[in-house]
Amino acid sequence: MKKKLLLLLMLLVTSILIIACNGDEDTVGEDSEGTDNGSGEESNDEGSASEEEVEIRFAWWGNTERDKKYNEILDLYEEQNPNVTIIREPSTWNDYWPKLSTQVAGGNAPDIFGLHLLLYGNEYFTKDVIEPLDSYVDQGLVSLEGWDQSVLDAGTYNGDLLALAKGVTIQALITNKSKIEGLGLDAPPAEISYEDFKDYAATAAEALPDGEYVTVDPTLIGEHGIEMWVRQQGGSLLTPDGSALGFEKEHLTEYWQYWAEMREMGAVPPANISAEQAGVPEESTLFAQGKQLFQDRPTNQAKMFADLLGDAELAITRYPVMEDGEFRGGEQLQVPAIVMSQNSDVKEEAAKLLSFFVNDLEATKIYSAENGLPGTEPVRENLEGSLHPMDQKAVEHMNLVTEDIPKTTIRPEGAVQITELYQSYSEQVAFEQMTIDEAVDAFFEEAATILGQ
Amino acid sequence: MISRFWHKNKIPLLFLSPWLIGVTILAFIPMIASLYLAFTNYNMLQAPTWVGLENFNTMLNSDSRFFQSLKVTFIYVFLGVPLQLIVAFSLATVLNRGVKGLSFFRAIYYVPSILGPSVAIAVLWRQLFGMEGIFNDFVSIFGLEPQSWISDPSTSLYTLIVLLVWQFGSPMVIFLAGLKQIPSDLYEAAAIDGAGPAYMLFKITLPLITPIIFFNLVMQIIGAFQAFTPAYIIGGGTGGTLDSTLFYTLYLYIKAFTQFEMGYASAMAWFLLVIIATFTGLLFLTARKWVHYQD
Repeated sequence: MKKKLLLLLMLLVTSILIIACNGDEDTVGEDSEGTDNGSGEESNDEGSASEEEVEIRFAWWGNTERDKKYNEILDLYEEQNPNVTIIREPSTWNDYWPKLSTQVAGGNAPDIFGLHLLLYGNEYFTKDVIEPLDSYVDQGLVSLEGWDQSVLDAGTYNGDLLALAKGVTIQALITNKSKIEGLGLDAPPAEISYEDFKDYAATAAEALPDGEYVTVDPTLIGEHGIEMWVRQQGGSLLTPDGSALGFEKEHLTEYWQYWAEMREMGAVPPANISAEQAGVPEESTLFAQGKQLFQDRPTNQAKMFADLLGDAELAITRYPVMEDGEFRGGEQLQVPAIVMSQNSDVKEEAAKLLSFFVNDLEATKIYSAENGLPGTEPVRENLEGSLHPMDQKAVEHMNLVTEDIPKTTIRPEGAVQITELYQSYSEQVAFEQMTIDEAVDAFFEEAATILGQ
Repeated sequence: MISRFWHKNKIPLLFLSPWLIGVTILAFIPMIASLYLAFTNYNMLQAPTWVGLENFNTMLNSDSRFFQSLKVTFIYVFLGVPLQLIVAFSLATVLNRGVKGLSFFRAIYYVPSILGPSVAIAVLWRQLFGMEGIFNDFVSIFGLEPQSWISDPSTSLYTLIVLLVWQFGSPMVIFLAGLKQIPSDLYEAAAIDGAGPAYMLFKITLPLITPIIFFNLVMQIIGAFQAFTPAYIIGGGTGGTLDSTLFYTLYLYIKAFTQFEMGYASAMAWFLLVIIATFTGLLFLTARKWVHYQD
């Protein structure tokens, strides 16, 4: 009796294993079938002509809400192209990058995947991983009709067009206008200088109860703040070749001093609360709970906070400007883009899907400026009536900002290590483990070692 | 030679083949590859280039985060493991007294060991010791200020040590089994000679259970050096504020997958192997002095 039971159990386990393995084999089999014949067929303007079954792998980062939009768009494409099956590979932002780099290293990158150009552009552009799109544009598979040159430039490397923007967005201060007015204050103007912002924050901090703050401590949420600060003064985070820091010690000293004063006056939370805030879900952030007046984020996230805050009226305030700086603003255009893998077996089909995703009016309407404003005129026009009110404000904001910022740069290789180093010394300062002068010296010394390698 | 070996062992080898193939493909080959990569500069996207000992040189001479990660890991291992074993041993002795429903308690105490290294528990821990966590309600009874134990750099590592200690179940079960092996006539004889409980503990129980202590110590130290999940989840994948929870394995992961330095990460992995081998070796050397096997 016992033996029989054991035998049965083993049989069960084995069959589960076989089934599990089988599932994989099936997809592999179909995949290679599609490619063997796919290369021989002539491309045709009509999607209906290619009747070969193809599978396209498509990866993106996001959350469950965003996944719904992607799925809807990809379902639509499958409906219009019955021969195409799209394998979807969604991840959260944090998991996306390790997964992608591992896949690329293993030679099984998704056919189409998302790439954040500002942060990761050069890590991938320089390594023969991404398929240039120019030949597909010439064949008419990818349309560039109505695209802004500046947005195309952002995705071009060494003269090759590698990436098309899913959207363009800019860091700003999302502003809880209702809350400010509730304190008996006026909302700040759309543009405000660093000095005026400090005075404004001082007044607001006085009016706020304990446990509520004016804005986020930008020194503890990454490198956007310092990068804008040095760009406004004619510098950059790193020199274009990535061999040295693009700014001087006094830039960093003044920046850390500015925010240390804000911390002292209670305009930004103390370091331990900021540190805790960095890891909480969006709905638990102080801003989403109505305990903070400004939120330091890209403008495409304004609509998410509008939803989280219910009936509060939000506005978008520009990141503080420097009237006496070399540039008034230092914002970078942030371009989450979409690219094709050089290893793809179904390049022509992938090119069509890629073009569909960024150009098709129906698809982009579903996407609804999720990753920021589209870089193409016809799509923007088509969205005009249906945009979320916060996205309409983001359009105004973008028009305002693009007038006086330096050219957006893609960070050179090695930038990731420098930004992590910067973050660690920012924490040393905020937690008062080091004086600002000590931290500046140590940061510059260590950065030189890293970049000198 | 080979054919004779094959002829003789054909059937056992065939039965072993699923495991053999698995261990070769999934463990042995990657290990050899990582040994090679440890001496290269490899960003995973381009072919590796040979750099000799440069990775080890950078690691030991100019990487401050590397030393921070060593410090954090050493505190975690050498504070956490002894504490965990003390708790495990104490509870095992209590349970050994013949508590009613022994198997129930044994199961209950064992549960954390199963759950311990999981993502779910790490997330739970984050909640417990966070700003809004239950632990703050608890300390407020004693009039202490609420704070975020997880993100405060002076306390965050200790929350992880508490998490390690809490997983005392598996060493406890082994201790319990060991305690049951001690012949009861020893205690009876000692009692007749007028020995008190403390005397019995130090002169009978502890010496006789040293092989078990040794086994648990080795296993737990090896495990603790490789701890990853709690630090990854609780620190949000970054090593926490001021790198206060930057475990060695977490830094290795950051190097490999966020900074794209797989060569350096491989070098770190092999260095960790050396560290663990050293400490295990030291334990085995000292074992002659304090571990008593009953012959």
